[in-house]
Amino acid sequence: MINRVQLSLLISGVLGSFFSCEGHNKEPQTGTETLLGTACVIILNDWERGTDTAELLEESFDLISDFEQILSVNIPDSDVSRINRAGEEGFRPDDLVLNVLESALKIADFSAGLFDPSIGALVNLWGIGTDHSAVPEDNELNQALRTVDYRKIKIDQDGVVSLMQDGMRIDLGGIAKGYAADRVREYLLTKGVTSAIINLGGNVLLCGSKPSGDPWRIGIQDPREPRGEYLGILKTDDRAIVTSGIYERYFVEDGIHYHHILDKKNGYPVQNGVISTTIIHKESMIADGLSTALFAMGVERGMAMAETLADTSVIMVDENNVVYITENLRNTFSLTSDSAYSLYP
Amino acid sequence: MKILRYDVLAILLSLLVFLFFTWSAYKQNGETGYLLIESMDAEFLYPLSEDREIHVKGPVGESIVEIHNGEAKFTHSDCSDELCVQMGSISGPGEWAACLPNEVFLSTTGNHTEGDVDAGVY
Repeated sequence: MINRVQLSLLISGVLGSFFSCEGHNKEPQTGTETLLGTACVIILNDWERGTDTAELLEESFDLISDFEQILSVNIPDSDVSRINRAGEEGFRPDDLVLNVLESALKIADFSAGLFDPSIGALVNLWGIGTDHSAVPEDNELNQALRTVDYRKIKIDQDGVVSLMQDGMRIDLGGIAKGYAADRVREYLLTKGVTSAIINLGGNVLLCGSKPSGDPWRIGIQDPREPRGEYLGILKTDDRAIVTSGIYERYFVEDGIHYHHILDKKNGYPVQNGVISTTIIHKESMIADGLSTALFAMGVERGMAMAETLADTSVIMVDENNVVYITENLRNTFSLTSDSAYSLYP
Repeated sequence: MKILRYDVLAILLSLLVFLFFTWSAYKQNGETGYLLIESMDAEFLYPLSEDREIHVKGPVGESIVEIHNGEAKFTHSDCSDELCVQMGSISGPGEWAACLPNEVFLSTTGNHTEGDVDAGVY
């Protein structure tokens, strides 16, 4: 038997479920631009009523472009280039540059210099990722190595930055993408966006969860396969996911693979058996810096360090195709079914 | 309480509404995805369901994009390194590939399957 109350509940349930679905059924709005030397993609998935998504995308890319103009070492009149030209005499950069530089110095301190923003001369010498990449001569390497020491970057009380070593060049490329992504997320959240993906050249920053409430599914690049082939899938929300790997920027000379993560001890690309390191953290800039630092530490030290870091998850892959993950990823990371990798332990 | 004729009609109507929207949702999910090509001065949209080859002009020359079996990829570009060709195929929502020197950008929408990811990290 059915009474009128049950009947009306049935009808309202059916119609209600339709209208509630409609509320989440927004077509994602995607914007793409080439900035920071890479392809930047922003996908807005959900937002408050009345939000002008086209304007938000435009403003977001304007923000990234503004950051690039003052942070890029490749733009001659950027604040970073001016600091490099001024050397010991010093230059007072924009507050934003000071902010990024101070964060870079903190990560350098934390990693005992394995991440070092003063590495610009060495990066420039190798030219990896440019059309003039080549293995440098030993004397050139030694000369460049003498200029690398983040402890000789001085910031006085007025914010004037001085490089207290002849020939030193700072390069904030290691965390600039992360910084830009964090600021774009901040901007989007204040403008009513509740669900979005900010992807700056493979550095992914998630805003919120998916509109359905499910966690995002993030593919972690297989270091040995073309881009888009994943070794595993991570389910997460509201986090930055950044990978440093030997496969992204490199060149091959005389059969030897030279990648872009450089070792301050000998000036050559780091050779410690690690082929990729992924960091999951709430801030993209921290994830960016840590991915380089933990890569350089190697599996044993890197994973031990990872377990001590608050609110941080790490995935490291070694040359024997073993994937190491921090304990807090046990339930959210899984290898793809056809993966050639094995999970440790 | 007895079930009146209008009650039966109301139930049938509810069922019809339910079935219609279930069918619509199913149809929408089954639709093919699209490839969006953005170049220096133009944008093109192609369904991924139709195989074709597209030639796009850019500042360093020509890029060739192929749609085959529901996937899109660069097959050639007049850039120096052809990193775009090495990027391989794209097909799922939010996937993309780009030739930075020739300023050609590919992205795909729709065509979601269970195995897809929301974003790839590299």
